[in-house]
Amino acid sequence: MEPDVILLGVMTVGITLYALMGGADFGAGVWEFSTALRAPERERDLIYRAIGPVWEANHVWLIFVVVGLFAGFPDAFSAICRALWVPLLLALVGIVFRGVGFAFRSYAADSLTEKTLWGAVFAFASTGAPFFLGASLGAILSGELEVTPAGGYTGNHLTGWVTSLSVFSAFFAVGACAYLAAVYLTREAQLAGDAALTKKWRLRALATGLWMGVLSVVGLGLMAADAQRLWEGFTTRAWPLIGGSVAAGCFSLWALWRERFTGAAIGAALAVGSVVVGAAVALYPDLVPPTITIESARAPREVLWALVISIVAGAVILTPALVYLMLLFKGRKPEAE
Amino acid sequence: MVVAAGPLAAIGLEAGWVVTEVGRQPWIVQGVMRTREAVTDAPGLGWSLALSIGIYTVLIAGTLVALRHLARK
Repeated sequence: MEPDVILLGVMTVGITLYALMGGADFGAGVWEFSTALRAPERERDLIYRAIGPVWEANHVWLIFVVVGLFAGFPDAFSAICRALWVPLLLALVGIVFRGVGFAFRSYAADSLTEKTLWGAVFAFASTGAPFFLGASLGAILSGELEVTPAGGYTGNHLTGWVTSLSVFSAFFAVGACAYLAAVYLTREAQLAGDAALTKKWRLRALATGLWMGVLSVVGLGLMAADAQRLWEGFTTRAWPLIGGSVAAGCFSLWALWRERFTGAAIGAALAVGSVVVGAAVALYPDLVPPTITIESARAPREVLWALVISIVAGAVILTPALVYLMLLFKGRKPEAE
Repeated sequence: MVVAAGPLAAIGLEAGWVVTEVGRQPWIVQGVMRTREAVTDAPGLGWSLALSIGIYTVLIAGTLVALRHLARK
């Protein structure tokens, strides 16, 4: 197997894990909008406890993908950074302020005003980060970025990233995060034995899930009309994954309805994950369509092999530690302070 | 002495950064690429610098408030 394909496969896994775990954390922050000003403290405790101390660990995946792109496909990295510096910078601002809002609210806010202020920062930043990350991915997928094969960019530096697909992806990403969070939180509420909260989150999850179903249909239509190259990839290669995503999404809704929340969580994760992997498969062998392909952007073979080997070596050390971290903090439920 | 150690540690850290970053000029990659060649051709650099400075100012203010709050507890 070629090292570039292995590396891209690993990077796709990284993005998927980021979407599933980081996405749920962003989503919990998105829900702060509806809960920030009037929710009882008990409800917020559930959110904050579910996010818990592992939430910063999720950004490992983003860094991992960025470094993989930087080292393995430098011309694509260069083009993407030039074309998308505005949305990527805004996503970064969101990630930073999300952490700031969370930490300051938890440790430094006495008065209700301060708590509300930092809660609002947390909610806005949590929504902004997936919004602009989604927009960035959508801009790449749309094939409308005026990039050159050598990694240059000839489009508008401020507004070139705004395409119909990038705007759609921005909202889709926020919606997917909110859905994942709602489903996970329903399950957490049930595990915590809180019947009232379980009921509340179940309704929220159902509503968001139906909304995401509508949004998905709109997205497919948009792609067919506006991003032919990607649409072709979807219809010729990635259709089993899209089919799988639809099936998993329907299953998660059914499971929510029947109050089988672990099944719902698995279904929701599969639905979102299949969309991410499906987009990657549809994009292949392009990296930044229409001009930058895997072949035109990849680093020399030796570099790629060195990368693959170091990732495997790193994974051997990192994976047990990460699994242990998850087990420690997600396994049992310490009471919130 | 102990009171001074905190700020001095921060100054030491920052000063070290400044020495490495200023010291390697005009190269961004020593002997290969100059900083002038590496800088972006995108417009609006001034605005993003202003934004970054604004963000850091807010963060510093917030950190001071948070630390004072924790110290009082």
